[in-house]
Amino acid sequence: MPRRSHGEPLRILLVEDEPAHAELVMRSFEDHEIPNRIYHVSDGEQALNFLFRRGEYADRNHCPRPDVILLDLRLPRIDGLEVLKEIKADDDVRHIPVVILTSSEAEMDIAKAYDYHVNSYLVKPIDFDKFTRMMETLSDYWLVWNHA
Amino acid sequence: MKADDMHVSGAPHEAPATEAVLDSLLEHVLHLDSGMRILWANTAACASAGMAREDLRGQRCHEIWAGSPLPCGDCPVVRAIRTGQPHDVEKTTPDGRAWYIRGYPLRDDAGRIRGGVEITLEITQRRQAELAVREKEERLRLALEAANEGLWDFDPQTREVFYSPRWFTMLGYEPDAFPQVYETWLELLHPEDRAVAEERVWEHIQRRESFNLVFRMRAAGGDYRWILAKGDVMSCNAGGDTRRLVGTHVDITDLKRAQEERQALVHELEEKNAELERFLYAASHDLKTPLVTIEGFLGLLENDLDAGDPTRRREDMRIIHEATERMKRLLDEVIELSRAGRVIDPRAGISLREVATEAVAQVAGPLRARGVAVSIAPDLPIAYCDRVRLLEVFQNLVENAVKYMGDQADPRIEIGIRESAGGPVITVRDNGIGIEPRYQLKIFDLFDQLDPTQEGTGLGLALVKRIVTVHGGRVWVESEGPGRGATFCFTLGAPPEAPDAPGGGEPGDTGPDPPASA
Repeated sequence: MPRRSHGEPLRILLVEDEPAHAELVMRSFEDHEIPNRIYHVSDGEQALNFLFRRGEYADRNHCPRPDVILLDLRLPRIDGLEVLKEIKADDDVRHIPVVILTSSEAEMDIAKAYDYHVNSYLVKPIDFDKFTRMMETLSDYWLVWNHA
Repeated sequence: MKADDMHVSGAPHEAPATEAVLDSLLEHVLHLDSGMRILWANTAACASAGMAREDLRGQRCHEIWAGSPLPCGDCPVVRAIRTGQPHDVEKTTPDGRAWYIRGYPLRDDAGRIRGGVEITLEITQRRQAELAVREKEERLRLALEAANEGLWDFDPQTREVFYSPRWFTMLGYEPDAFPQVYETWLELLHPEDRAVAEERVWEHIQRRESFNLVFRMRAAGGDYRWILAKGDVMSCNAGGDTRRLVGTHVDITDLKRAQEERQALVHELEEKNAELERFLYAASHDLKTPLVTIEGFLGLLENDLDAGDPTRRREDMRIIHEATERMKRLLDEVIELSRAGRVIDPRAGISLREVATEAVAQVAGPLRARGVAVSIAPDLPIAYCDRVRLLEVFQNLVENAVKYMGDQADPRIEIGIRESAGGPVITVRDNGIGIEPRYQLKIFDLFDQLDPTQEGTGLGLALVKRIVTVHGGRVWVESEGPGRGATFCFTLGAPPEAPDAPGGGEPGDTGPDPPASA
């Protein structure tokens, strides 16, 4: 994949059906020292359309390849695991790190996500401070330290 | 020996050769005069009486052997002398021994009857053996009866079969209601079981193996009973070429039924358990979601208060408020859902038209706001189900239809009925945004919403499904796709022991589905 050139903002695809949670995540990244840009879609179908540049996202200028994907599990239309499966089955996008960000601590979900080659699985903490810290660590790890 | 030797008169017997012959017999031989006095006795007879031949002479036989002053009532010699014909009798003496006695008349040269000959064979052992066999048979019969088993004995060469009375009566027939032939069994077999059962029987005869087979047989009432047949192949001759198949029948219908009921119960429990697990999973997730929102926005609110941003502050509080509202709604619906499993009074027949009308009245607000025209078919049937729950079904379906009406300029909802092979189908049809085939199953799952921006918790259709399922019915959606409207269909199970069907379904009226009447 083309490496992010210097000075370009980080691109994050946020797949989250709960508007309040999307807002929480986006606000956490607002004050981040690394410039970033969040692309928010609210269901699995939109997520796949964005990644594969179909339908409403056919214009590639408006939907660049993200540097990381934050993916909720319980999504309308096509659920998170299905989205993950399709991403990891596609040669063009499977190298993009996918981080599951969900409320579900169900072992089944975790096991399946790793079966489908997820890169990381995070459970949304209820506590605000922890939530904020998690978002910071997340961006540091995937956007600063990690080489994609 | 001359033939005449047997036709001697009352005179003492003087033929040593003949005597020797008679003495060698096991049978007792007595030569009697017409007054039953012994003229001569052979060795076996003397031994039986425990007397010498000379001492026996002149005694009356009934005094010696029966201890009676008069001839025995059934004495074959007395009868032979009277009728001139041989007679025989089987009798048991007081000492418990059994005898076979033959009496012959004895004539003089002129043909006059002068006396008789008695030949007696002890058959005590033979009798005992016969008795033992009879007892064995009786014991077998009792065992079969006690086990409620019918007996059959099949001769493959002649295709004749012995069927015991119980074999017939366990199916409700009179004993010997049908011929004792192989074809009787074939005829009574369930058509679906016939080929397999017959094949197995011949296979076992071929292989000389015992077998164990379950099939259905037609009973007198026309119903079918489950029969367990156990049998064994027996060889009838030394070479083993001739074979018979002998075995029993037991009626295991009740057992089968119990097994089926048990399986159904286990299946139901497993489904309930799985449903509970799904519910716990979904509920925990969906209750956690607003909690994350509330906690998160309380934190953001604190930041925004510090930063003195009034716009963001108001927005934060609105989101917190919405999340608590959502939790409240979720809890209410979870309670509602748990109630849906309880059917209050399914026996009362209720008018579906009335219930539908009431449900529409309850959704009047949203209907009016969206300008939706609702029609209810006049021929909705009487149903045997829980009125309150059915009201919820209609209400949720109508609410759902309003919610997904889209930008339809002429919004309509039609509540109707159509007949199908499975009975009447109640339909709630709209001309809204429709639904793609791939989502048509998913929408009935707990907490699943196609459109997250819509109000609601995703429990409405799950509730509908649960109520309909509890009533023994089925719910599904038909839609040709986006923009083509949707028809929600549901059936209700058979009424509990009600003689008349809940629907207006006429017998034979089960052709292809006509368009929904509305």
